[in-house]
Amino acid sequence: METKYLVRLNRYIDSMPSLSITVSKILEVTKNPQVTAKDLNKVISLDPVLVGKVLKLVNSAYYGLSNKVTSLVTAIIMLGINTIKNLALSTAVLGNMRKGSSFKTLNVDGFWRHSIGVGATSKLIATKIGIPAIRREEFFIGGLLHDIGKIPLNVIFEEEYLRAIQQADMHKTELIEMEKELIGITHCEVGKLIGEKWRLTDETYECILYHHDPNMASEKNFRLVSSVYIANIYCNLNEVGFSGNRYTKKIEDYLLSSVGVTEEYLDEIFESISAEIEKASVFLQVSGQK
Amino acid sequence: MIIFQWEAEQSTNDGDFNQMKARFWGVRGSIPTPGPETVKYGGNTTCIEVRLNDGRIIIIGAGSGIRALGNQLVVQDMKKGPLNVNLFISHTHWDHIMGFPFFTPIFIPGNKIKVHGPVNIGDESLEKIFALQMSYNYFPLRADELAADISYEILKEGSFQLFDDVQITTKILNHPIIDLGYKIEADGAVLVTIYDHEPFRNLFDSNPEDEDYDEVAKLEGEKAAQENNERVMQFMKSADLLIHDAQYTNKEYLSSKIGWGHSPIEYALYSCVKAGVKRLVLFHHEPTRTDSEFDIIQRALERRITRISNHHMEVFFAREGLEIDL
Repeated sequence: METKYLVRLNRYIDSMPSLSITVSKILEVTKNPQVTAKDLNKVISLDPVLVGKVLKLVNSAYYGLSNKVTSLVTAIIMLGINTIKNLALSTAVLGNMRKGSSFKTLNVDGFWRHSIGVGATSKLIATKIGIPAIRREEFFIGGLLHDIGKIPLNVIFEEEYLRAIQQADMHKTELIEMEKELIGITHCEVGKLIGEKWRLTDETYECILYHHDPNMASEKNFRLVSSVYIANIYCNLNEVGFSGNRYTKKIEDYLLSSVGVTEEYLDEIFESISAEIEKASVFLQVSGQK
Repeated sequence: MIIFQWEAEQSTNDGDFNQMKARFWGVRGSIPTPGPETVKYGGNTTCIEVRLNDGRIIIIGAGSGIRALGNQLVVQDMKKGPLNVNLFISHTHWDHIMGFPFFTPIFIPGNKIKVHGPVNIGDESLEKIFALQMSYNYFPLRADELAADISYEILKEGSFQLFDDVQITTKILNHPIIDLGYKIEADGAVLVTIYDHEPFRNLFDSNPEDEDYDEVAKLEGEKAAQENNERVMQFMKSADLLIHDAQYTNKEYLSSKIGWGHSPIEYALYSCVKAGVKRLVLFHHEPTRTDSEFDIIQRALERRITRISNHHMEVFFAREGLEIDL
């Protein structure tokens, strides 16, 4: 990849706006002087960019923490309501300043539904496989942020990304292959840049980087990354949202068994995932958008 | 035993320094409050002069109190030559930087002033934030017209050597903006500032009957609040002198000030006892607090504090002009 494109990608990542879909709710919530931590947590947790930026701030070198913060609840308590509120607002406003530029090729509503869907599915898998409640948010965040690298790609390489989606569709292949071929960098690699800049935890970082190849994940995070991998394929196959990847491979049996879920279980939770997305949509008042 | 030494012993050290000393030039929070009801404790917003044994100058806070300090520095210290000042800002809320444009040493060539402070969420430089209050709409001179050599340093949590023999440690506190507490270790003594600060609390506490009850968030919030309060406690632990936020009484705090980023006096007192602090200065006074109200609060605290018997700590209200040897 040419340096000038990397520079543009990096510059975009530095001022990445929140998803336009959450902006009106953020504006509404932040306008309320009595806003609660719960309100903020609810709206932030529905936006992968905002989640990333909150964790970025609390895990920045400015906070001399020996362990990285992985949870939004802890981050909100440490940063305080006002700082979180202003961070959310400034991230939302970044989008307004460049109206229409945050999503050029991908459909923002489809992307958002896919991200929430993968987050919700991963969390349900975590519950099923007996992950303690306090760690399940990691599964949600890993799923929510797994495709974050697509945001800068579809803005900086607008035309190429459209071609990549079309070619993937035409050749019935995965989008990531076309990203490699037509752009020279994949959304996982762009996600890696974001993960490094935002100082995301190893857990989230590996979900972003390895959600197409969980065997690359560290032993510690293998089940987490594999859960996000399964959730991603599951949401693509069942058309839970759309993030440009129409054709995907079947989930390997050995991965299902190493994680500890069955296809039957995944079929059972479909309704819960749809309900979760609809609930979030209603909360954001975006249910009319398709 | 807690000794309420409401009239703290005035430093007897006049110009001949043996140890670090602290002098209060502004003790009020939020906004200057001059007038007949604040004569005793003073109405200027926060500014503390810290003098090392050899006369080196550290200033904490650039509230309105820094104006008079600046004038004294020009008259007294500049007789010996240009100044070399390290100014530490807890955060950039207006009451803590408003005095800077009136700090005379910034207008005098040859003076070196280094401003240290925390980052903000927009990654804006301290220089830019300071310059903003000296822009056309707010002040007749622009920041780049200042004649002194002024530099700015963003601080993160951690420790560094300000000089070979002076260590500074910082701690991010709980306030509606990123806010730093400072620990200065020099001349064999430890001075700590913790303002503007409110105890961390569980923002996700709720009843199981509530519609949006989330047990995981509640437990996690409890743990986060406790851990962060413990970190602040550790930060103040070795203090010979602790200057702590004490803007409200507990009653005021609980009635309408939760979340405003300031501590109740009682919290400052009990946490300092727990941390084994030797001397506590109650600081950053509520702007509406009159001199006579301090007397009422003092009596109420003395009654309550008799329950604590196993710790020796001196405690007093900060007031303008108070000077303490460490």
